[in-house]
Amino acid sequence: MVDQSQVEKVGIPTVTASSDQFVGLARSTVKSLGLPDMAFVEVEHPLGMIPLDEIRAKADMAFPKIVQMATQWKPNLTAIQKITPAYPAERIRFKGTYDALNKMFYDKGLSIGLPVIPPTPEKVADMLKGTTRKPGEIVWAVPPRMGQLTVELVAAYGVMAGCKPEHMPLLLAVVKALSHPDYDWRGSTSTTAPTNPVIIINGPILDELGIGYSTGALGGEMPVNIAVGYFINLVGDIIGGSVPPVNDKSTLGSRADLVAIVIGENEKANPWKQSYAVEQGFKPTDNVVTAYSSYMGSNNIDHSSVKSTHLLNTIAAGIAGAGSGITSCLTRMDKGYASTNKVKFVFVFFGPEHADTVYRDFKTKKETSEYLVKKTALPFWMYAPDICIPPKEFGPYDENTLIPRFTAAEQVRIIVTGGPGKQSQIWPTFTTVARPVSVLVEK
Amino acid sequence: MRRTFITCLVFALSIGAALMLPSISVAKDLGQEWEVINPAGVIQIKQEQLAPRLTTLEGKTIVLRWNGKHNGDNFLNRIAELLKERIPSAKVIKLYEVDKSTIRQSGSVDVAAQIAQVIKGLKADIVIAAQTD
Repeated sequence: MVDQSQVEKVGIPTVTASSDQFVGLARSTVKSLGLPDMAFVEVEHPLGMIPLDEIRAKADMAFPKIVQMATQWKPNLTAIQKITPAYPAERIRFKGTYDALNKMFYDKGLSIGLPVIPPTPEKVADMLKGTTRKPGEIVWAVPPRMGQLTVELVAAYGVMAGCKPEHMPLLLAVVKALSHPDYDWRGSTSTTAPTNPVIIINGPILDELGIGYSTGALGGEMPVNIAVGYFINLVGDIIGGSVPPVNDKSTLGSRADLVAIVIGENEKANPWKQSYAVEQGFKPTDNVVTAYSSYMGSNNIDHSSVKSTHLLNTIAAGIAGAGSGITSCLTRMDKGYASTNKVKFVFVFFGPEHADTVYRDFKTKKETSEYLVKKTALPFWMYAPDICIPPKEFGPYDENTLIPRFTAAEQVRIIVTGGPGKQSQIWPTFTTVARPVSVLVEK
Repeated sequence: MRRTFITCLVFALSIGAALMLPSISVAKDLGQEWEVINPAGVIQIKQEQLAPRLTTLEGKTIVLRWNGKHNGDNFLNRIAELLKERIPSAKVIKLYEVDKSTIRQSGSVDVAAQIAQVIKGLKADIVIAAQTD
């Protein structure tokens, strides 16, 4: 709907035929872009993945309404909003137990189902001691609702999630990364896919704050990782308004929608020595947050490969299947989103033992990625129709021709994380993400 | 001896139970006065104008726009047939055939603005789009 909104803004009227299950999201998107409404024709769901005769019949049914909306529709103009300052935030007074306070928060859409620590002015003021940024500074208008996130509210969400004042610079860096256009927060949080933010942390901050990067780093008993992950999804759902069933259209969702994936790189166990952040041009002493939106991850469990290539072959099998259905073939990092350039990169979280196995024969991450790019291939018949269209220079192919998913080493990104064991994880990016966004954690 | 022990035990338990009673009544949480910060935040969106509306499609240039979602092109192809049949004076342009770079769900205001300029360049009087999920 962002596209049709811009068409209206250049003075050309539009009519949009939309599935009746998605028109609510379309209307709220339009409002968030400053337009009072737009002309929609609701068509009975589904429209995608039905045979040609059925979609043509739906077009026949919709046609009279499309003409009517094109020539007779008048928008319902909403009253001009009263402008309220973003800072200081409103205070809520409430009498009751802690349980009742939590229920009130949930009932008013101020929490996402888990208990929160009440953001009292005293606790928020304590959190604000963790930064020199002004509390009234607006750091993000969070889509799709476009709520104005101030530094004060970053502190409030930090309190609610269980963060400490010393986490404030990290939280502000996370917000900066998530709000970057290359992340595509709006698309990521309103899609039908179970996407979730992935946050990778590098630098001395890992040990300073006790961020988990070893055994069970993505599980429980990791208070900082969990608090930061919970903070992200509180921001996304409450001030951002990405809530099912209207704005968050995730068909099934995932638990990472509740607590986002936050992980440190196990820099000490990295046989390649250079951390992900250093590879991106940062110094080893820099504290760096890297963020991207991901489809659900999967796990490689290879206990028996001794040779590097044998292990990488089973990893490649996992990458080949990650984000199945939507993945294009021969994707390129340097090309924008297109129906034939979907899911441009993937992260492999190598467990340290797996990393050591790979390191025996692959002395750089780049060589490793190049091998994985070569081996991550599917036969043509395994790609969804019209998504894999090899260029002429690829040469002749048939249903059984193996066609790689990627074309360059930078599309298979590597970190080393976790503890002892023969496990690694694969986290493919959401389809409209341009690149992972890395930002410095500023003191 | 045994009877004395049992008597003492019952007495001790009675005393203990009696001592617990006040704490049970205290444990009933009557709540407290809270003051908390409302995290919802405010919304400040610059209000924009919609385009002027049309009253007829006769003689107009109608651009059909597909965002790449499955069946959207098939839906619009049928709409194009119906427009040609019912409103023959209208000029129908399938944007997805004349400029394939526009077949995308951009989600980005910048990219959307580029698509809007392409449409403007076609001298469109109206756009009919399909969002097929």
